[in-house]
Amino acid sequence: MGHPDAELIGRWQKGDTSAFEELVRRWQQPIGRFLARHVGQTDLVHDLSQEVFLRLYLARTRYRENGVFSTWLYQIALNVARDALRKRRFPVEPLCDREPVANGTPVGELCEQGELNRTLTDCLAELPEALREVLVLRHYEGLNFEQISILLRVPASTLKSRFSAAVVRLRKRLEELGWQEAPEERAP
Amino acid sequence: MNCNQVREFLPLLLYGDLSAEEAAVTKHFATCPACQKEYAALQKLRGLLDAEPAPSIKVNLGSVYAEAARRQEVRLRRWRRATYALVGVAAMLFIIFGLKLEVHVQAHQLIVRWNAPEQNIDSGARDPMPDAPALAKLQDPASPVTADDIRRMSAMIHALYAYVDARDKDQHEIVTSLGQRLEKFQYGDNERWKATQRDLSNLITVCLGTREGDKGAKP
Repeated sequence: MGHPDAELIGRWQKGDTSAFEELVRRWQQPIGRFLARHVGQTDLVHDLSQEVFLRLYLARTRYRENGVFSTWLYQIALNVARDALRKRRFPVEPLCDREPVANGTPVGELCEQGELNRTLTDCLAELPEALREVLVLRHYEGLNFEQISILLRVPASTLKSRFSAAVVRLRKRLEELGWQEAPEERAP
Repeated sequence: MNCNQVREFLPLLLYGDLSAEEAAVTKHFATCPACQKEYAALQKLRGLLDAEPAPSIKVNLGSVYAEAARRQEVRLRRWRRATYALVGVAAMLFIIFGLKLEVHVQAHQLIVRWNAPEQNIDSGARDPMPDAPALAKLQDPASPVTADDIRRMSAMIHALYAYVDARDKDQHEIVTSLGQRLEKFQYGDNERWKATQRDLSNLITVCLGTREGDKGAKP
């Protein structure tokens, strides 16, 4: 069991660089995952992750003990992702230009799982940024709507609406591309 | 609640985020096959999202430290430049106001003076060389020059400037006054000359007129 984040922060602010390195090891995967889902370009994720922890290192003195470290770190990651999206020069290839999978093909019959993952990633990238942010933070990072509200400075009720809209849109988009749930599944 | 309303809440139901609306949604859900089918699709979608692999990230701490040092150096350089600029402006203001810098143009020359004395020069009694003993001492090459000597010399130079400036102003005033008097004289002379000419003319007229009148009369 490692030291809590708050303790590591405290040691780091007093000059213990090993505490900072421990924080990096602990959070590099979640932050990398968040950036990959949010930006949608896996070749940028490594550089963006470096940028996140660089900004964290430079902001050492700004962290206040009454804050939650994960929220602060995700705020930095969100800013890095937004900056990258603003600067990006490449257009997102619209999925409507691709040939759809044959109608009614169950998931299990798709040629490669990789093709599905790529399609899913691209569908996520197609979502408006505001919807995608909430979906990624809720589903992949497991933050609740109150935590996301603090992070994004948006009311929780608005975030819930955005989250529902993101999920429904994603589901409809995959359906347009030929994805269909297995017919034998039923609700609990 | 109808199906359209319930479907807006299905993602929240799936993730356990429903609260106040939960009872109404659950009640409709229990009896609506269409909504149940939609819910199942969302469950499958959630599974797909979970199955998507995440990239493996390993942050290069050496690069982080190197880049942090570089950015801090850039920030420090900017602060230094701003500080130097501020000090330069403050120094200039001190020179201008602290040393009472005076800049003006006189007789087609740019004149810059510092610690200029007040302009209430008494034109009557001025001694341009108030410290003749100090001047005599400085003129002696054998005597050592102290800081006090330099200060007194500086005071003499300023006094000389003030004297020359005041003298120039006085002379300008004198010349102007003389010019005005000359104009008056010239004007007065002209008037007297004109009056003289008139008198002379009248005299001639009278004399000539008398002589002609006298022609017919016996002396």
